[in-house]
Amino acid sequence: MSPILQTKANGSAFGYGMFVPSGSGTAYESIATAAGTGSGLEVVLSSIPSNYQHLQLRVMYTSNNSGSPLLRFNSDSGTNYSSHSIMGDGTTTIVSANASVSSIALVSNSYSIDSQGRPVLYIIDIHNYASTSQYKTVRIFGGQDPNANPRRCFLGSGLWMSTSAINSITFRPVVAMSTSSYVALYGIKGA
Amino acid sequence: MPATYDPIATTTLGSAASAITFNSIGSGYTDLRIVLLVTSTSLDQRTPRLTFNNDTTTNYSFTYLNGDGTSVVSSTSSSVANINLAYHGTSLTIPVFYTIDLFNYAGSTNKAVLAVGSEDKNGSGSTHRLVGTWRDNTAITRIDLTSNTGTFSTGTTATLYGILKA
Repeated sequence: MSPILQTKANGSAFGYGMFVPSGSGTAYESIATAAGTGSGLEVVLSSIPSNYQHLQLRVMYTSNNSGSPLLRFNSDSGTNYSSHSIMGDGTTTIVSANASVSSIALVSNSYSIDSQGRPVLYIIDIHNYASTSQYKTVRIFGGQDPNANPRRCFLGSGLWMSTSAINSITFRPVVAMSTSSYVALYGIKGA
Repeated sequence: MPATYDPIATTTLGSAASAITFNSIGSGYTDLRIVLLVTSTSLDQRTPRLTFNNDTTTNYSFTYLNGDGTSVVSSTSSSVANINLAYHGTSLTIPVFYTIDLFNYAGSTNKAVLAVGSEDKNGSGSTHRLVGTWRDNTAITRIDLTSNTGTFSTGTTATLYGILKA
């Protein structure tokens, strides 16, 4: 299969290339994926290898219920997390922060995500996840626009105050994700 | 572990054009990412707009956060004919940088994107984050990045990447 690159306007420029998921030679690798089951409130990605520099989660889920998604590492539900965020709902901007809490919030405090059957997205970068000498810092970008309220455009930072290497990640949307949903984990190699 | 984040196609404009199109996109990946570096001709602050499968009916919506150095705002557009990626938009001389992550593009759900716009022009500009939805369940096989008016300049570059989950 060949994709066609086309630029419109006064005349066109065309290019052609193969559309083959070869992936060879890249520093970005797929580690594991958890699929939605239509039931359950969370997914856990465990036995994460330590041979990458950073991790990235890419999340797409739909649901017919609302929840306030959160993130945990190594099944730690102690008050070892903190977070900051800025969120837009299409009208106003909301900033919030949490210190010494039991998870990293993926939506601003007291707000929820209501999928309404349309996609909710997250890209979550987890830096230096295998370190045994540093706390772990994450960056979050996500949201939803179901063509109705509530809308969410979310930016966040989070901290797990542990020097343990991350070997499992819990993504907890607090709703049952549809079977078309996925939480995909990728590893980014260092030099 | 399987490597991914594969370059699928790149186009660099050899002459001014009103749009860049990725066509005949296969279904071999989970997500797509577009990296767009754009300048404009004749008129500053043109805005790149995103459509799929040639659909220019009102099946799109988007919500954004934007900071311009003075304030931060959030706004939304419902039932519109495209996803407008920009706040201040393009520059005549300074490349403006966008990344667009498109999830589950070949799946049977509605399609949604996360986009980042970096529009700094040494005294004006903004940093922009957007979430958008195309209310259609068909697989995406065509992506158009279109200027709201006029053309993108020679040298404007767009690259399409594929990301495959395990």
